[in-house]
Amino acid sequence: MAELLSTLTIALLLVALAFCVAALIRVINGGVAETDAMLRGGVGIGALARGDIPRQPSGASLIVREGMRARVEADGTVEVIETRTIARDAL
Amino acid sequence: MQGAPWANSAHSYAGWVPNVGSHLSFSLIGEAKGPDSTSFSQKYDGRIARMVAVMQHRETDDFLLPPRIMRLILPDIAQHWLLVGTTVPVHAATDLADDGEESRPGTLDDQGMLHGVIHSVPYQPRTIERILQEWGLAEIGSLLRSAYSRLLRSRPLSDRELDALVSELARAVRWRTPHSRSIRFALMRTGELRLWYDDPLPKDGREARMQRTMARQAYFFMKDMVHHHTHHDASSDQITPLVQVNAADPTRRSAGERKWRRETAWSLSRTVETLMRTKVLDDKRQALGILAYADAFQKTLFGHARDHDDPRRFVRGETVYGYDFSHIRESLKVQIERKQVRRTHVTAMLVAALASSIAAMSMLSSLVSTRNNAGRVSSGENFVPIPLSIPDPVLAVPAAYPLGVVGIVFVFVLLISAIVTDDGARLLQKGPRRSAQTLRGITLSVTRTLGFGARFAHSLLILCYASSAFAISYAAVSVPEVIVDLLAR
Repeated sequence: MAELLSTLTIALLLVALAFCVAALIRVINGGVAETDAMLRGGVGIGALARGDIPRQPSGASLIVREGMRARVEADGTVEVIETRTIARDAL
Repeated sequence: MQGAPWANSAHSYAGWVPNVGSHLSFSLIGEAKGPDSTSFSQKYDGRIARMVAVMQHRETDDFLLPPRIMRLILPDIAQHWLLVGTTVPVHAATDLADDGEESRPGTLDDQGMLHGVIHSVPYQPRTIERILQEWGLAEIGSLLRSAYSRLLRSRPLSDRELDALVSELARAVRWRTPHSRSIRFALMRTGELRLWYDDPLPKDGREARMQRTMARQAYFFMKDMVHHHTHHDASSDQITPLVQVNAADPTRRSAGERKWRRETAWSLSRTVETLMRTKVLDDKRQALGILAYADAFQKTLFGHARDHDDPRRFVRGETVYGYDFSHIRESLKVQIERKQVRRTHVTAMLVAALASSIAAMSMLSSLVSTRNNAGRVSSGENFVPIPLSIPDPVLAVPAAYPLGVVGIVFVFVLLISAIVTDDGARLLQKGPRRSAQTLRGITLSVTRTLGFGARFAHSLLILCYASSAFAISYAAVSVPEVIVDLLAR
């Protein structure tokens, strides 16, 4: 039992390690320039959680993608709210 | 106006549905888009035309939490989108007039344009209305599925039934989903897309903003249904822009005609340059792919514009000049080749290091074993053997579970592939990397709060990942003993 639990735990930890190292490589490859683009582009934990990354100017290197929320209000009108986050290709 | 139905609208948009063949296949619209889509397409028998209808349940995934949790917090992230259209004859831009000549209509393509309406059905929070709306959507889905099943049974709909289906879908949208919003569209085979509202842009800023958002989302929906996402993530298909063209005013229409072409070309070119700057090999390959699309756009739509007096006709592009992508392509190819050579070298070194380590361990083991055996023979009981110190659990666990060893080796190979492909994160996980986004967001927010710059944020992020990797490695080494101790108690 102990050996089985050990083996499973080690396997899970190694998978976590694989993800962690891959993400680290991604960050190193992106370089400070990528981080700078995100810092200037208004990316933060709050904006990512709410999905309201600011619209980027046309020359910005940060690629964002847009979505939409839409609901019918009590008075029968439709409320459309834009959502934006970092493009999956970018992060 | 027949051939350019958007021409009389004071609130219209233009964009490009990326394709490299310049001959979009309308019959493939909505095909193989997954279980959230229902589509139907059939040719008319008595005339050269095709009817196309697609309904899709779309869910916004722009948050850190996954949609299955977000829909409990914000149920309005999900909407239904419906596209209904039929093909109509339209002139293609061939045989362009030279300077000073009168514009020419070009060649007539009998099925050159798909013309119809895109409806968006918002979330309905009131229960009774929601049930009625879902009933209506189920009815629309049922109409499309039953028409498709007739095709499968070789009993296609007659022309009259196809026209009736278009009317039935319009009726169902109007009466069963009364809060849906609609925008008209015209999609040319070249990928040129026109979206327009019947009414002019509202003066109310909020309503105008919502109509613009709706138009952009309709554009993304159309692109998602029409083309296969080859060089980008499906949900990040926002490389090409949707540009507002004020069609009712001839002067502004003329400027708009040039503007949307120019902005599409710039956007493609900008994306290529952005991808070229990264150090990731895969990004450079993607840049090469996007370059093919940019070339196709330039050849099919950049060299001409619609005549501002008669949008059914075409004139040569006057104020825009084309890109010469050949030099960028050559530069990209050299960059890719250099990266590949380096990658091959790194891979070979990694494999050699792994093989050398195993060989060194084997040699050490056999040398120690030989020396101990020889010592025992020559010195007898006085001999003190050299111990090969390997902790017991390290040997006991793999010996007890050989299949576990296979699993661990598999994970190691995955780890090495993540390192040598230089973009392993994408190989390991195709969806949004929420944990990576969270960590990135936290480090950026902390940096902003402390008033530091990008270098600090970057170093902080690397430190977070490096310490996590160290902690995981330490846990992996120490965990067998901890578990054995725990169970022994």
